[in-house]
Amino acid sequence: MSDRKNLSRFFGENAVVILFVLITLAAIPPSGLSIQYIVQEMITRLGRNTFLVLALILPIYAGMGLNFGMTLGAMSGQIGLIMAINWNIMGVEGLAFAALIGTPIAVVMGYIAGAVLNRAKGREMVTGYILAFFINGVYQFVVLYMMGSIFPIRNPAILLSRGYGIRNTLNLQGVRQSLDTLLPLKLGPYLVPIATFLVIAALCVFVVWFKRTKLGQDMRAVGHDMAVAQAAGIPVDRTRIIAIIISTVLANFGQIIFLQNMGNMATYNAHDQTSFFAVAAILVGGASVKKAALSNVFIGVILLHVLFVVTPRAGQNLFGSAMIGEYFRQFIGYGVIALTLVLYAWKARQNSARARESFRGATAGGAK
Amino acid sequence: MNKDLDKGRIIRRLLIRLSLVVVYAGLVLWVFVLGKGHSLIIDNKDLADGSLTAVTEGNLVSVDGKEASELYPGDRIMEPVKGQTHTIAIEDISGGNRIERKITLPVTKDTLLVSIPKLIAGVNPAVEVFVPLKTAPANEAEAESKNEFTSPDAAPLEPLPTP
Repeated sequence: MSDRKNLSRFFGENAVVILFVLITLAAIPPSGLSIQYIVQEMITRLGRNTFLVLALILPIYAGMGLNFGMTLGAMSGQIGLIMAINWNIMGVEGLAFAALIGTPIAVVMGYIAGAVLNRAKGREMVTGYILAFFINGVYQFVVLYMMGSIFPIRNPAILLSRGYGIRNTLNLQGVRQSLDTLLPLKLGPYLVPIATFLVIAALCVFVVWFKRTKLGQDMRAVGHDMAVAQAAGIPVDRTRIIAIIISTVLANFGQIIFLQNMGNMATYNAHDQTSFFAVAAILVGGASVKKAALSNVFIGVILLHVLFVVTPRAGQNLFGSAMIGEYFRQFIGYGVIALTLVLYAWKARQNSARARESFRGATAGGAK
Repeated sequence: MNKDLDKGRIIRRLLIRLSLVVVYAGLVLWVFVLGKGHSLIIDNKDLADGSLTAVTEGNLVSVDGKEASELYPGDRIMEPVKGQTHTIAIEDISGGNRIERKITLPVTKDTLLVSIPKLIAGVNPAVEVFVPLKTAPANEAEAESKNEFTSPDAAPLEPLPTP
């Protein structure tokens, strides 16, 4: 009886991961892709996406749910990259320059986002999502109208023909894969971007260390129960703002790492789905709105991206159209977010019903 | 007494923050100088005044130890470089003579012209800012698209039919 209960609890808690593993395993044979190709793709995509997904951990820890507002950090990183291209700063220095330019912008954006989210406690995710749309408007205004007119742009190659506004697509030739190729390691048939993985490892160490600090413990307390944390003298609002600022700054770095790997930047929509795919990845890895660990990030990135790699080819081979796979990719992304949120709400209701029941039982027992 | 303490603390905090801002700005500047890219146009043409001429057999030119390029009289190549100090190695194609020259580029200039005859002769400065020829657009109306959101070579928008 107890075994069955444990098993059902295990399946309940890991439903999304199990579902994903099954779909992925089923999609690999019809895709016709070799394991070597898939592994190389995974290595590349782990380097490209993991930093962005790691940016989501601290807000979850602070009880603010999935930070859809990380798009703000992605936009800051893009402004940094535009400046690096504008000044023709090349190589890893170009990435460092972009990060240094983007960081103060990300801090301000994070502060604004944190302050807004503090006024929408309990509805942080939807507020962050809508806030990202609003700031996207500001970003478009700055990049499309102010750059080249108010903010001087010295590189005419990145300007629109009318003389102001940045072109729709920027070639990041000068910084392309400069971090990935900084310390390349050939392991058998696989090429491993060691420098990128070292940066990711440094962030993992930072997250582990940060959780043990006073501020990290405060975040945990705030995430557990805001009222209790407030009563204990923890500045709840300030702690939440700091969590969002750190997440936004990390998203800024993450977007720079992502784009240097891609090699070009869609100026007006590269950031659109940053939070969407990062959130989908961490949820696929088994995280929830309230709980996330480093392992969830890595499992999620691998599972989601194996699926992203194999489904278009599986769709092509099974149905004669790669678009089916592409559709499946979008469908899976949104589907997994919806499924996790539904499962989370369902579990929360179940837990509160169970708590109510045990409370009634206790009071009935006490009355006897 | 307490007010004095507070004032001191505020000033100290302000100074620390100010120095952090200065350090941050210094870091940005440092990265900027280290990573600043330039386009080097390596030019193997005779000088306009005829004082120096290119080697008729041609040269093998390599920048910072990269793969050498063959440059015959009148040839030009473009080499993207990072940073301000570079070594250019010039070797006769016929073999033998090889010289190495260090050049320093101005940090704010993007495209620079390096004259091989000047480098061989040891004339300073061998590097000058490249000024591209300005040509007037063939036709103003053709050069600029009316719709600023589309690229200049995009098809013009058809007017909507009136009901």
